[in-house]
Amino acid sequence: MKKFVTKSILFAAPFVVLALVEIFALPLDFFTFRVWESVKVDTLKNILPGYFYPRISITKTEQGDITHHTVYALEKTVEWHTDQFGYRNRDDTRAPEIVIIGDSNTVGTGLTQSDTLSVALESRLGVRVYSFAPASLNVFLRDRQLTHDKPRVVIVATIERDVPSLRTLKPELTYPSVLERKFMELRSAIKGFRSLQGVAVPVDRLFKANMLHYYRASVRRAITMVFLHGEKIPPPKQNIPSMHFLFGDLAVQDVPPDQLERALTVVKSYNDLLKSMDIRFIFLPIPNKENIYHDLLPSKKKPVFLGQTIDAMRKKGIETIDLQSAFDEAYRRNGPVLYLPDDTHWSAEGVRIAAELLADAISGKKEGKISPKSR
Amino acid sequence: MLFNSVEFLLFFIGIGFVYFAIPARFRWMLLLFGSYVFYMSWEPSYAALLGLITVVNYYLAIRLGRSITVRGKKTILALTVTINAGLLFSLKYLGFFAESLRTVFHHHGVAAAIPVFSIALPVGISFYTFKIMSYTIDVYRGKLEPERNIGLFALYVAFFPQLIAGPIDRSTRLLPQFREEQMFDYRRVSDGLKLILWGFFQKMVIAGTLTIMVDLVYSKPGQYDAPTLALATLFFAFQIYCDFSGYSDIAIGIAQVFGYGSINNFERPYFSRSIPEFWRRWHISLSTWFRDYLYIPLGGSRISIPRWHVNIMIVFLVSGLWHGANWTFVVWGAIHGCYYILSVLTKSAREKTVATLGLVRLPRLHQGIQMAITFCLVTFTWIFFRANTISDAFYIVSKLFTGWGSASETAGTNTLASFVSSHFFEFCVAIVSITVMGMVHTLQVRGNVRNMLRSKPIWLRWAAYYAIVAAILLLSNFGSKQFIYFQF
Repeated sequence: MKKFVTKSILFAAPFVVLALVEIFALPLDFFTFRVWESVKVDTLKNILPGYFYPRISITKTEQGDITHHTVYALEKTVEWHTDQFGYRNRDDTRAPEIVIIGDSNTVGTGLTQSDTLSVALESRLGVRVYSFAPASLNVFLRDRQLTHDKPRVVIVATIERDVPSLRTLKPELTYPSVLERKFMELRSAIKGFRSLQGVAVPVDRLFKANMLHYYRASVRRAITMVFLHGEKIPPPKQNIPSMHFLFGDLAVQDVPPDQLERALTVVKSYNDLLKSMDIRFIFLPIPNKENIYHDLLPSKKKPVFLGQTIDAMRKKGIETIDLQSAFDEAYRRNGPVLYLPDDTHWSAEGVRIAAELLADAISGKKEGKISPKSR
Repeated sequence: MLFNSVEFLLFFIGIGFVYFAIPARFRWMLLLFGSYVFYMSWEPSYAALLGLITVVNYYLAIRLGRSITVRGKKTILALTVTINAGLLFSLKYLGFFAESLRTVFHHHGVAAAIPVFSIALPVGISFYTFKIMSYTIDVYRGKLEPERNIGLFALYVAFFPQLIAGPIDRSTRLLPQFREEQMFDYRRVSDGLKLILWGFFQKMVIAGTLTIMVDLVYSKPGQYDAPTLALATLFFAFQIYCDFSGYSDIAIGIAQVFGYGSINNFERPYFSRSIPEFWRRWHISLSTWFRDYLYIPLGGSRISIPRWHVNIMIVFLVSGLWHGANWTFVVWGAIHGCYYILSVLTKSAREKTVATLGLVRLPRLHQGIQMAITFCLVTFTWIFFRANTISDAFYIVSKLFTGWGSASETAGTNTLASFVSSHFFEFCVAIVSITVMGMVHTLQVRGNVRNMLRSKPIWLRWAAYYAIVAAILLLSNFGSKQFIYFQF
């Protein structure tokens, strides 16, 4: 038995050492091409409070999510800060007056912290804006630490392609009983323990195994490149624009009417719930990159779903920001500067336009006038 | 809890350490408890069914042992077979037969109100039902006394390494081992772990990689040309072997760590030189089960030739149906039945042909040709086994026989070149890993590979182990976790 245990320990030692080196010696983002993968919570979602590791500050040179590790990749240096709750905000003692619930666009993937939507809106309105992303309204309702200090405005931002699949509200979160509320508060309080977070983050990183995934990807790339392309990455084909798309023509397919109906019902339920809580609700659908730059796609087809959605939402009395018209106009005027060329997400300019429209809507100004492109 | 999951790894390590730490007389209890925890991790209600079946069969076997008249024994045996087979039929096949009947009536314009059955199939039920039935029949035949210790019998039924997908071990082999005191044996434990490691390599590297390509082609066969369909079918032959053989090796290895020997499920089946030989090497625990409990009771080969043909077809059709409630499996079984009969009927003609061609003087070449033909015949049947529907299967077969020609035949389909280049990494991993497996199989012909390794210096052995671990970590498909045979 002793011999077996000794040999087992010896056999496992290299793997244990490598794991320890990754977690305790190397920087958090050592094995990732962008910050997102290095700070995202993987396994311990029920122990850590937010979507990202709490209290993280990283400056990293990133590549876009479509063309990373290729000749098309564009490098950009970004700053990331997460707060004690594990969302991309700087710690601030002030209670947030505005909360933006959204996806990776709201997080500001590919952008530095100062270019994110919450920061851009905060600088325009002078009140604290909290980026609660990526998350759904259900998660927001569950997180009692934030809903304790009730915000004045809740913005739900979502990329166009996810509008049909917006999460329906969970009844147990919408109108929780006293016991459920107490349980959620207790859960949030436990998740807030700094010492627990200090243990949970390394454990989560161990499960995430970024080093392993990095080498798996490297082996795959090496085999593919060496054998298929003779150690050379193929040069860009002629006449292909430098703008890259994740879904291409697939993103401009017609959406069935029942999906629009479903989205309407869901967003209406958000609106009604928040109204009943005396919170102002604003819906911000973000156009797909393929929607605004449809002329760069082979089909050159302009999708109509988002336009229909905005009209239908407004008819239902839901305050909706028309980013589609604003982006179309900005694209005509300034060219393709609204989205990152090598990434699925919007650029600082896209964020700036959205922030202006939101600021105007919140402060009561007439929507629709966008200032010329900032230099 | 899948074998290839972190949860199972922790479960196995935990059980393993406690197993050897506690006194030997309590170990079966730990294994029984662990087996039920393992089964409940799938679905707690499954464990209730398993427990109920165990208690009923335990009691009936005791009654069977006590019965002194032949008639009484036969009555109890009939009752147990009816209960077990009936349960398996109602859970697994009721919906299938009802649907088939509905189709037949609809085809003939008859309006029949046949109810729709949609029952969740408890995982592993086909395997543990067969295990229980073999026990009862062996008690009836007087091969063993009924087990008095309900705990040991429950462990035989629920033994977790074999619970989900076999091997279908016999009570005559396993129950006596549970009574023995299993001491920690370094060589046995390390051999078991090596077998587990090899099983993971087969499952995660080879089968996992092949799954990506095979699933893609077989999900939409109409989108691919004949060479791509042929490649996918060839890959499926290796996928299903590595998936199931990998699972069996892991299961056998786990049992070996605890000190229990299991029946070997695979004996390099693609090295077979005839269809009957293939069935002596493929899923041995199932094919021997059918031989002992279905084929022999039907009369075996000691009957008239036509009746023997019928028996063979019955065995293969039942075997096909056992795999799943789908006509694709029935056709697969039927083809194998025809193969088997033809291989016996054409034996003398084939021998004459071999003599005429002078292949007798070239035994290596002769063997190679035999293996290649057998492999091709078996691979052809995998089309029916893997296809989602019977029409898909026939489409693939027709495409394979007619779709190699003109450009019009391949118009609008993905070509082999584009398919391989878009899955180049998987293709390379598949080719290299299958080659490695072939080399290991070639070594196995000469003897036990683990014994061969033992005679090598430690640095070489450890390098081999690390290479396998590195291959599993770096090359495997983490997305493919489910084992094919879990659905049966």
